[in-house]
Amino acid sequence: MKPSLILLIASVIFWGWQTGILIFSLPIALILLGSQFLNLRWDLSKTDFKRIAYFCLISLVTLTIYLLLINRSLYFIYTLFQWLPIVFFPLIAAQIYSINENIDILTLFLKSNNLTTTDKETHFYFNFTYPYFILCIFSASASNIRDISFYLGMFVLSSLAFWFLRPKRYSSIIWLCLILIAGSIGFIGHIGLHQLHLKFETQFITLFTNANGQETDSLNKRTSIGEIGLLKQSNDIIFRVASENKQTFPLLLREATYNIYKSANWLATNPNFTLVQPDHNQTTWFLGNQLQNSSEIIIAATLSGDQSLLRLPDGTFQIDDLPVKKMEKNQYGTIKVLGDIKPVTYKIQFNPNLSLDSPPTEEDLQIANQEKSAINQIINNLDLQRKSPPEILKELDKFFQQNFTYSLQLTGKDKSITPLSTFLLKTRSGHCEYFATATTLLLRAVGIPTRYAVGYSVHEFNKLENQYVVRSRHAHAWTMVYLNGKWQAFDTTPADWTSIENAAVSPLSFISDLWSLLGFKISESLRYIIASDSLKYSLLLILPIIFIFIRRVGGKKVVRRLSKKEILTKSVDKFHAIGIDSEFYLIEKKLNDLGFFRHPSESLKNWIERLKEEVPTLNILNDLTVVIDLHYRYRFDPAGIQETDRIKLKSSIQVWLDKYGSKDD
Amino acid sequence: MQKFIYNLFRFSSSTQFKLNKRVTPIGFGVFCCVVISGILGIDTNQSSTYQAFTFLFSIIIISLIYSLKTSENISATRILPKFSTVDTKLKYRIVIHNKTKKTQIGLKLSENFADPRPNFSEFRESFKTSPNKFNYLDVFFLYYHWVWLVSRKQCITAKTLKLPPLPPNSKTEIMGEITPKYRGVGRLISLTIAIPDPFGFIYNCTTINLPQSLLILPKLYQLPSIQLPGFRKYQSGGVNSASSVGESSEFRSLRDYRPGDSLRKIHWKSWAKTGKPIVKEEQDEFFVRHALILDTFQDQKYSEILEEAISIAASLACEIQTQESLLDLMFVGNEAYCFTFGRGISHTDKMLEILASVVACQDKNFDSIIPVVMERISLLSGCICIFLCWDEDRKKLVNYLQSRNIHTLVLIITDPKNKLENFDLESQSNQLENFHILELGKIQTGLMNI
Repeated sequence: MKPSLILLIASVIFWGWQTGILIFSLPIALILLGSQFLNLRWDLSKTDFKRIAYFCLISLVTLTIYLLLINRSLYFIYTLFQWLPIVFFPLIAAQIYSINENIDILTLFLKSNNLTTTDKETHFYFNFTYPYFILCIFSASASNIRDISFYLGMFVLSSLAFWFLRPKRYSSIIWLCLILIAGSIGFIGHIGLHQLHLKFETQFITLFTNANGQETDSLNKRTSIGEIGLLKQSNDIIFRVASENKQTFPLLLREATYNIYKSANWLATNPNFTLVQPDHNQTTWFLGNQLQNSSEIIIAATLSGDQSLLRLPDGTFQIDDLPVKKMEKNQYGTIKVLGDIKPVTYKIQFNPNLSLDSPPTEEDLQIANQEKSAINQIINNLDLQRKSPPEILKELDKFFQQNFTYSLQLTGKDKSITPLSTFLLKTRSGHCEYFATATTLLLRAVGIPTRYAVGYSVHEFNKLENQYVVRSRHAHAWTMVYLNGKWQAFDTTPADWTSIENAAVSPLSFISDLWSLLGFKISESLRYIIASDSLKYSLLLILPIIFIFIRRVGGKKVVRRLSKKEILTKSVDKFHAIGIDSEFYLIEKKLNDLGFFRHPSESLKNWIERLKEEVPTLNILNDLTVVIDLHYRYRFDPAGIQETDRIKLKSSIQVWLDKYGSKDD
Repeated sequence: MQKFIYNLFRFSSSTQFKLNKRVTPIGFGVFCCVVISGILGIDTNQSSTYQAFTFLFSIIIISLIYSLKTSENISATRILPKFSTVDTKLKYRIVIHNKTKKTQIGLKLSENFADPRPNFSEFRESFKTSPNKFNYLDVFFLYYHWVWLVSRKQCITAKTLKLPPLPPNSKTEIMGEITPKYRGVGRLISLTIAIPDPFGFIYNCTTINLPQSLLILPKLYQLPSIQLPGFRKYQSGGVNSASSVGESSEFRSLRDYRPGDSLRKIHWKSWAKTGKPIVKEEQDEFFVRHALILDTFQDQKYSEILEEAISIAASLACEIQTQESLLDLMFVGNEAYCFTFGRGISHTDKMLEILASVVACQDKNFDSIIPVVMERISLLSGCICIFLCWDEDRKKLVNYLQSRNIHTLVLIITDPKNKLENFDLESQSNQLENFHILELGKIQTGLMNI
């Protein structure tokens, strides 16, 4: 058996073992192995190869489209890779079972009318055994089994392949040592590479979440309070909100709520997440009792993987069409969902008058000691303690609107006082986190329970899309005030913050908006196709199209001969068997070692005569003529030679070898 | 932009050359696998492909390190003929001397040529005069043109040879093979002996300086026996001086002085002996003398039409029986040239050598060949003109030859794509002139019909 075929079969089995589809790989391996026992070969023409290649191509395209529709993420490529050996199996089988050992690579690409050209230079014959072997290894790697088996299998198979292809110049020991070194380095390297990747990924994610605040932690919110520089926020559209009733906008969508402020961090203490059970259709979730007078919005967003927080308006009691695996809710109204990374469009029903968050606790009145002096100073200045809660809110709102400005410039902190105190007493300028934190703490100081809420402000209506778009820079923070027995949103950030942020946007941002819209529309239509039955029908439609295509490519000769050619292995063996043990081959080897080579077309006799002419002084050739005659008779005479002649041949060769063989060593 | 593209091509050419020299096909395959596994394995959480990447990467690094070790002590000499002909494979001998103490196995030998990359001005010019209109953004076309230009300048290609085992401290002779692709001079500068690393990915190369050049003669066509029209003409001064100027004589006899004889012809010894003036009488030489006018006037530096014209000229030069007649080869290169061959004056080989070096004349008009023709016109009995096109200037020359009663064979080479306009073969051919149009791709057929 050819070494390349052994490798091929081994790699196919390895692929099946790794991917767990032995049910396909074993038959493939058997079919490939069968070529050794089946003495039939098909005379496949270039057109046949072309048809097979087209078939593989169509299978590949169909599989790609199918997997893309099922997975809808770039990771479909790994699934695709696992199935590739099946897709290309017809091609390798055709090569192995055809009388041609190689395939003209151009037949796979060019139009069929070019195949008739007989110009030798336009053909590139190629053996697909090794590419298929490589494909099997790559496909096996896509299965992502996290144990040592892949590395070992890959190492052994690749080393075998390199062994067969190695130059004979070096000794096997050197080669083995080097391959073992390479294997060890590769093994250590792959562990290191994986660790490096994990480290990089963690670093990158932290950096990324800090930078644009898309990923919010339900327990801890690190604010930019006290930092220096310019607060840079991305202009990317992160989700879209549609509603029939425009009266509900502008709207604040809350993502998380916190209750403790500690050195520029907001924390949610003792979050008690409880499971929310879906309705029987698994996509409808009830958070509270259904109310008559409710509003409805539709949010189109991409869930960010393992755990993401939902952005919901206050008073949400029902969420529809949300395909997530798990939903959890804590007492502060933060909702965590577990699902795949994918775009979703869900419907929210809410009533702003409804409050489902837990009643206030002691933590909702806590103020950090270092902030107290500044807070008290403001309260005294405004004389808040003597006023009723609604008046306090009104007074505070007026205070912030009149005396403070919105700014993205981060001013840092004074060494002596906290950044928040600096904001309240000195700079009186900052972004929403300052305003929300200050308001929350000021209200707590006068005995009103408050919480700090983060989320998004929905205020930008996009005429092109006919819906509201929410950008990363629309992230916002505000205060939840417990008044009249329910939690209410209270936002003291100066109303011009949106216009200030809009002014900072590049005029070319519409290009990225258009790009985002395009992506949104494509994913929306894909979702629509999958949701509707049209996919099934379109698959039914694709089948006849593929059939017609094959007919077209196949041309007129659909039914044609398949001439079989029997391999003459047995008779060839018989032919080789007689006289193959002649000792003359030792002489030939000896002469080869001395640098005298026989041309492939030259007979032994011609060769020796040529050598005599070329090197007349070479006396070792003198005795060979008689020996060759005997050898010829032994090798090719159908009747064979007599025992005495056989002995004579053997002894004369031995004499020659004794005479010249050792001398030249 | 042009300069950038030129530099890009120059760089990619040299990179490709170096890679081809140093990396084996298996090495290329493994390198591709490294790149693919690197891309597929970029997310180490999603697949195990990165494991294949690290293994292949480390094996490549090892083979790279191994290929850096010092090369073996091997020398070589090349025994190369002086000439070869376009499209005819040339086998030549190379003797390799293995000076080491061990048998060398698995080596490869390749020829290195003088840097064939065109310089910037050549590159720019070749595009300016290119018949195909294109813009500089058409990179594929440009690269194709670049590759052609490089191979045109290199003229020859040589096969990489697998060396047989080289016994220690001995010389081995092998046969190399060169394929001349274009007419011109092929310059070989060195031989490279490549030793593979244990995995067979990368070669360690030893270069042996062996500068030699090979003149590639133009391709020859088979011609029918051509009966060149014309008659013998008096050639003043005889054969020896037929190609040069001045009076020398082919002595025939002595006779009495007649008034009017040149004093230089007086034979003084005979006068002394006989006492009366005796003069030498010379044999008047009459023989056929033909001109071969080769048109080299075109805009491009290289063109297929010119190559064909030179091939036809070479074929004619070989075919015409020059024992009995003289042949003047006239063309304009950097200046106007006229070389005379035949009747032992010079040899056909010499003419082929000259034709191998003919270049297109881009800066002069067709008129510049006229003085050379005029100089010899009185001696000519016939003329063969090989034209690259047909226009007023060429028509004028042919008419002039006709007016001097010289039989002329006119061969016009045309591209089947650009048909000759306003040319009526029938009306042009007459007793003195014989016109033939040869189409590219059908030159041989056309020549057989002359």
